[in-house]
Amino acid sequence: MAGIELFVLVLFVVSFLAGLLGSLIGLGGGILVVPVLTLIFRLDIHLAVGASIVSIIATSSGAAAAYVRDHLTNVRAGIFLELATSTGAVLGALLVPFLSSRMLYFLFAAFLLLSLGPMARRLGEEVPSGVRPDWLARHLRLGGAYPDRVLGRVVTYEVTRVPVGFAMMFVAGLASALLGLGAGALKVLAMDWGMRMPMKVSTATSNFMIGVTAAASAGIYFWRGDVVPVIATPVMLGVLAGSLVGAQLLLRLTNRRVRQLFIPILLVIALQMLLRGLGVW
Amino acid sequence: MDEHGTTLSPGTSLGQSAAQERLDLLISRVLRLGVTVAAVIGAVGLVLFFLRGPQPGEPQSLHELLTLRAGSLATSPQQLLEGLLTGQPEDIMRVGLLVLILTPTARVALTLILFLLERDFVFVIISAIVLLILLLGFVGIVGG
Repeated sequence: MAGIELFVLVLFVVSFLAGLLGSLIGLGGGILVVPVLTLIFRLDIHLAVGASIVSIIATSSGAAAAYVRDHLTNVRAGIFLELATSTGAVLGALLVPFLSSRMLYFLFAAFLLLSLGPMARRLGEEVPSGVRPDWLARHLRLGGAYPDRVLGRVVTYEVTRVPVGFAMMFVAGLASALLGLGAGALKVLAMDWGMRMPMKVSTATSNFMIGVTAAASAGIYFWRGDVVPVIATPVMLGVLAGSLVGAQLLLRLTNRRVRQLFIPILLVIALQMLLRGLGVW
Repeated sequence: MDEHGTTLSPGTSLGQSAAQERLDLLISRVLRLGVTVAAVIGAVGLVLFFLRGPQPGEPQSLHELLTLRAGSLATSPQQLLEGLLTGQPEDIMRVGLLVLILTPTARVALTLILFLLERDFVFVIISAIVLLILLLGFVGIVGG
């Protein structure tokens, strides 16, 4: 019995660190929760995904509240793109019982490795210039402005290639539900590479959307019994505390630093999950 | 607000409308409230768990918890309510987690109302569809 209680405390501390890092790199924090629960504590990956998907709502909502208040978030673009992520997420949650644990490990590793390439290549772009809005962006008025504290001015920007971003967001929703992560990497990519939005706006809007994406599948996980209270609650509380600290730090970092943090962390996790999928470790 | 307050403060300096300003603030508050309530309920459940130990039907040892198989703790609104009435720690935690799951849904409902007030009907429809998908994902499984 004392074992469970100690475990709960350890989970809280580990989740705090996951929430801190996750918030800094614009991910849900779940990208670290699932590997910790499965690789270190050897939990069934389906249950790890259940705990993670709920904790993601806490991380993203905590950070999203701060970003929205500071006007970094593009609310209109976020809501429009949630059409794609929530559809993908419901589909993913209905699919997941038919997938084996090893398949999920493979998908997790593959998903992370795929998101690494584009991140590394475009390292360092703060604010895209010369963006011409496409038809959808003009009619939905998706362009915006945000105060950049590091540059010390208000940056106005346009949005383009909306269909590309929309399609990527559907995949992000699917991946979020299957793998218990916010798919923040793919969401940021869909916006800053796909739709050419500034990195900071992409990160903030990603956080804004992650909660809705996760909630779309979390209800299904919850009633199915894959959100175990003794696991999900300390994870949720730890990740929430960590993400609140992280959101404060992000406002003082440049976009380039955010990305540099991104890459090595993802690489290590991807390799570990790949080994697990192969049954090596 | 902070050291850059005057040049980068919200509102007029951004050229945003008052409605946009209100929307941002309200969304921020709803998210914060939902998460805070969920965290408080979850923390109460955890404290009770430390005091009373696992409730019947839940994993009783660390080994049992770590070797738990997916789907073996399926629950229903009736079970949840019964557990709550007897103050079972795990079911209290479940309510906290449910509040958390419903927080983004509340945010979407709120943005729908605000777009309605702004008479931005394209975004009213967009928000309504997102809300519908969220509720289908949630209620559809409860019923079935």
